[in-house]
Amino acid sequence: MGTNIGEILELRATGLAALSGKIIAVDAYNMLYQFLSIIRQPDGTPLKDSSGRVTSHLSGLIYRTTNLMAKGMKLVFVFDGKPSILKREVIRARAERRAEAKRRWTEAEVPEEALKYAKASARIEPGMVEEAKELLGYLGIPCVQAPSEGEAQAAFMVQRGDAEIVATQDYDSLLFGAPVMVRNLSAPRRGVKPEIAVLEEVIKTLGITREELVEIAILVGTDFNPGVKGIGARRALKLIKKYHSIDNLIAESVIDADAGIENYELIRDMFLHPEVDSTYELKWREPDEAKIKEFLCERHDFSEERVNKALERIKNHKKIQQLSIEHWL
Amino acid sequence: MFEAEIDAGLLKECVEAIVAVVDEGKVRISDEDLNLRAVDPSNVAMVTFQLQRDAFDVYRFSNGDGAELEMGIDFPKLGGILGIGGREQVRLSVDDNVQKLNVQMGSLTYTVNLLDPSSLRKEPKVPELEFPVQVVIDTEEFRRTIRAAEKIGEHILFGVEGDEFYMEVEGEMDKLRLGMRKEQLIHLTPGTLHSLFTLDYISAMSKGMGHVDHITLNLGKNYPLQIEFEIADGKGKVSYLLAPRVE
Repeated sequence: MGTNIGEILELRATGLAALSGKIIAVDAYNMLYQFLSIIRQPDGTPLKDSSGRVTSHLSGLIYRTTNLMAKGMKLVFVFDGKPSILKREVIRARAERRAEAKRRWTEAEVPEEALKYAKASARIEPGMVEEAKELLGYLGIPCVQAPSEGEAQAAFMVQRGDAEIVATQDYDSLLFGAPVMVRNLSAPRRGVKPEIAVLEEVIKTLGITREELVEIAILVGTDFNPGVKGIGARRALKLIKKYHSIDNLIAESVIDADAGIENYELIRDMFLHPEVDSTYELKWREPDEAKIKEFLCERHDFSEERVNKALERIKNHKKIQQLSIEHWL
Repeated sequence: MFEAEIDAGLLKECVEAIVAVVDEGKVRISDEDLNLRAVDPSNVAMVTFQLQRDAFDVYRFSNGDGAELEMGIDFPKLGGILGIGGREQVRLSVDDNVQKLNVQMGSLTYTVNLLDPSSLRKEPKVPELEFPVQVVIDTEEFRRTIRAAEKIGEHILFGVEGDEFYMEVEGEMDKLRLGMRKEQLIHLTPGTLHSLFTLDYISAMSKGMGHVDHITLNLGKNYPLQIEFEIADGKGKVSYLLAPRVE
């Protein structure tokens, strides 16, 4: 998902503690998808409650997000709105890939194979988003509804200073102008470190502008176009450094206008001037423990002991706060 | 112009000491020393580093107007390069416009692009602090306790009670405590106080101490922690400052 420009970007590894006290705009679909993909049993079966409803996304929300809250992060979840028409092709292709993965999963004979295909077949089912919003509400975490792309909305919120970092796995948020993004926040294992990309540093290091970064992404392929065959991120960087725009590349006949970059003008405009909402309101509340337990333990058969522990973590954090050195200046 | 020769192991220790707090920073080169001061991105930890010219086997510095040179360094990258070279002499040289650093080890020469100092975070101001208590402790003892603490919890308490210094970690289930009396320590100012710290930072710092024999901890009550140690047989100094967690 997203654009494949990772190989030319240098991200900085960081620790969760370094993010303490930061307001983080979470790309909600991206994180839910991660939970649904990763949180599975060894044979690929997702977590389910006693009525057979999938609960992997809820498990991720209660255990992983409370862990981030306990580290002192303030989260706001930003949900996708209506997908752009430009995305139709990608959505169709993804559905096909998932269906294929699902078929292979059922046919897989070795558990490792099964798990691999099960992960690839993960999808956000209708109803899951509403469940996630309900639980986030009980946790006191604000949710923001984007008119279209969630990442664009999250980037906008950081630009405005209402949040400080966009959390997502996709580099698209840089294209949408997020000043800072962090990957791997929902990483399951201890060894996987969060990585930070600062837009200004990224473009400075590459010696290009944000507009040129968008051109590179379109050449490589985005959620809205397949990209030019045979052009990877490194080659795209070279081309854009020399020619500066796709228009010039076409004018000089280096590439074809219909070679995987159809609608490039619309796509470029969507990254640089995305549809966002500025009427949102961010308000963090205390978690409603009774509601959380009723929702998770009674309705979805979560272990009360584990949920209690997760809630305890947030409470413990509330009591102690990390100060910064500036406090003594 | 700056040219210098130094033992690779020593230079590696310097990089490790700095990388414990920051990935990148401005190293200033002057007639007397190399020095650096930098804070981590969240302004919680600071490192101050100084290496005198005597620590080098060769040290040539000349800058037309006598001003310092500033070199923007990506420390993990430099550490990686030094890791390849093994333990021999390293020759360093910087071109006049400070854009490239040459690192020569035997017949290998790396040319590293330096970072633009103006793109780096500004050097932090140094807070004026007074520490009521000083503890000097064996580095290995300290590091061992931190390693054990990592398995238990996320915060660590440093305190002094009478003439005992202690470190304490409480996890969800377990608790770890190291108590050392005055006679087990190299030095201790008696007192009654403690401060709480995020263990991640202390763990990283404990890895920056290399082969140092002992370290000095300066403490207060709900107050920053300062950790100081000498490198290069006393020809260099490292000081970490870490802001506490408070209730």
